[in-house]
Amino acid sequence: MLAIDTRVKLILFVLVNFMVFGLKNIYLGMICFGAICILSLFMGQKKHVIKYVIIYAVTMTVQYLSQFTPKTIFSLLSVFTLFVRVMIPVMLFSSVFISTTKVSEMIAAMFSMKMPRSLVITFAMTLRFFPTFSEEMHNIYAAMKLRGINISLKNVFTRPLLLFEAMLVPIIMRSASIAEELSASAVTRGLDNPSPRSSFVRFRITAFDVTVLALFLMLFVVLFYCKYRLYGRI
Amino acid sequence: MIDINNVSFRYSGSDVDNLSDFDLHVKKGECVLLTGESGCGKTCAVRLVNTLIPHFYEGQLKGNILIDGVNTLEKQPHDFSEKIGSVFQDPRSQFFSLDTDSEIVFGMENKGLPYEKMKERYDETVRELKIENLVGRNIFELSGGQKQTIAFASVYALHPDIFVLDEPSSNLDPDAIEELCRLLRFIKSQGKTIFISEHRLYFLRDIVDRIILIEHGRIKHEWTAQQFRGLTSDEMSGFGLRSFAPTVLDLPISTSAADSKPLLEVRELSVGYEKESVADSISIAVSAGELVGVVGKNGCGKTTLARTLCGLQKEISGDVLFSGKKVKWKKRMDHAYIVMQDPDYQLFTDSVYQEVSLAASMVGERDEKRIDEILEKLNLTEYKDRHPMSLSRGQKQRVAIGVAMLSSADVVIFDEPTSGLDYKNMQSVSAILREIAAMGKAVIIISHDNEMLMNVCSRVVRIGEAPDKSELPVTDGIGTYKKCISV
Repeated sequence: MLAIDTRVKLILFVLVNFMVFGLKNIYLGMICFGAICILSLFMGQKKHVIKYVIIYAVTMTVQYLSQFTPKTIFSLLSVFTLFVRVMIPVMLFSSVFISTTKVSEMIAAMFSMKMPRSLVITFAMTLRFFPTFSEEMHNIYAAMKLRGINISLKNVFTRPLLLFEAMLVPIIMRSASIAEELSASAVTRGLDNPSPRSSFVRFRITAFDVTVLALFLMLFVVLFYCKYRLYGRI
Repeated sequence: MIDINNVSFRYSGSDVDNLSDFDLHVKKGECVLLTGESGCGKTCAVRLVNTLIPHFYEGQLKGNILIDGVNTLEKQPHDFSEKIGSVFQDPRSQFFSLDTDSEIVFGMENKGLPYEKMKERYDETVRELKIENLVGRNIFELSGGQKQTIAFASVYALHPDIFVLDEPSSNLDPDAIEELCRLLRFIKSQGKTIFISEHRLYFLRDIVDRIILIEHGRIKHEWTAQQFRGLTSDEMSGFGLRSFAPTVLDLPISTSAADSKPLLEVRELSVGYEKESVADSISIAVSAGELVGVVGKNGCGKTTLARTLCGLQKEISGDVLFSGKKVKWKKRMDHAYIVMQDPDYQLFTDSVYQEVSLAASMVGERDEKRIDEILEKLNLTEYKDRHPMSLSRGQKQRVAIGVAMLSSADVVIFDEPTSGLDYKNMQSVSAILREIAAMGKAVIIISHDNEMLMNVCSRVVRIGEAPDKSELPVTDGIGTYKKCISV
């Protein structure tokens, strides 16, 4: 299993997005997906690869079979399958990215790439918010159930507003107070210090990183060149 | 070290001074404790010292604050990050990172310390605070006490001269308080200055040098630790202060009910998640009008038991009976209600009155008089049109209790009802608890607050402890109460 530098992963993420959304042609798209699969395998993410390859295969089968259906269904289905097919490589890469990167590494990488401080801090806070949110949600829903305001068909139809309010009010209030306390704590530890920040996470670009980056850049150029030859535009 | 010179402060939007003519000087190496009722201005005083006032919380400030001779008005909080370390009340909302290592180095990273220096300080912090077991962990798997320790470590790593702590024990259980106490003793031995606000006083017994009582934003009294130890328990409660000696929980430990017809009976109950049990073979019976405490270490299954009793989760095995009838878990919500530790979760509507009347309408209670009566009892009448979220924590909690009083449940469970409450509020919650029991409900109180338990409960149940628990002496709780609270 090989680890890739977080900054290289970030660049790859941008490249992958361009390739996936720029290459709607089925063969070029498949080559791109294949490349991401191989990279993911190198990074030891077999499970993710298998899952997304299966979804990809199913989508392709649906697309193939849809040509035997009536025209309206065919056009509906092809929009849907195109969307799924294009999204799968991005989803695979994102899953691999998330499961191989620690939040602290991600933040350190963003700082070292000289991204604006405000952007990085916002990003870090967003990441921190999700687990907090699910914890909070768990408590709020327990409280709702106790009051008989659980998410049931009866409540959804008879008092949807109350249901909505009972969920939203505590979430907003809790989020606001957590945000305030958290920023106070971060400020006392110098979060808004304008001088350059250092990092406890250290990066080293390896030969593998360089190779992967070079290969993906080449792939990027080759695939878009192919597209240009096929369609006469980028 | 810290000079607060005749400071008056008023938060923007407020029409009273939170602090007036506040003058306090703290020497290097001294440990000063601020205490007083909730809302008396001690948090405000703490914020003056850690420079959050006036840089983070805005308002009108008169006078000045000097830290080591440097005026805090002329600098920014980050200039003081290596001088003053702050630990806050809620361990859940102090973390910037998702893992403990990043959190410990967070302040150093902001300061821009080079890697080698950081590594050295990190190793030193882990070694000196003895927190090897907390290294490299996900923040979300830590207990409240462990989170508080990491918050402390994160500050400690910056080597500040002054430690400022705002009610750090509020959300902690006795073991975690013991741990906090160990950390405080350690920094005290290093000659650090400690500035701390607290309601709970006993754990600071051998650390504190000076105790300041604040009332309505002014210094009301000042004692040296020695003078303070000389106060009688009557004098202490006269000042509205919590006990300075640890309160021994001296109540009969008994799981059987006061009479033969218990309102709630639990037989051989195992509770937990997905077949993994947290606590086994719990048997408890509680009669109408009884107040029973449930104690035990954090993580021993107290809250899981409470959730099982009020139907928020399924038991693993065993039975729960209400008035002698077995009740399946999903139906238990009609019989038992829990008032959570954090009232924010349990308030949904946009006025206190609506909140309570919603609870009334759920059980088909249409009598407005009854609602007014409950509000009156809980001293909430004057706030009935206020938005619940605009109230103080104690007031919110009373609204949540009002909802419980109006619900159909005969069994009312309280999860840490007095955590972070001052003496006066603790007393008023105790009175409300007794009131609910007098309404003919069975009241179960999960708590670490021995002072309150001694105050209201007739007996306690211990969860998840060694089997020799039954051999502990059984004594008359009321008779020993006075003995325990006196210093």
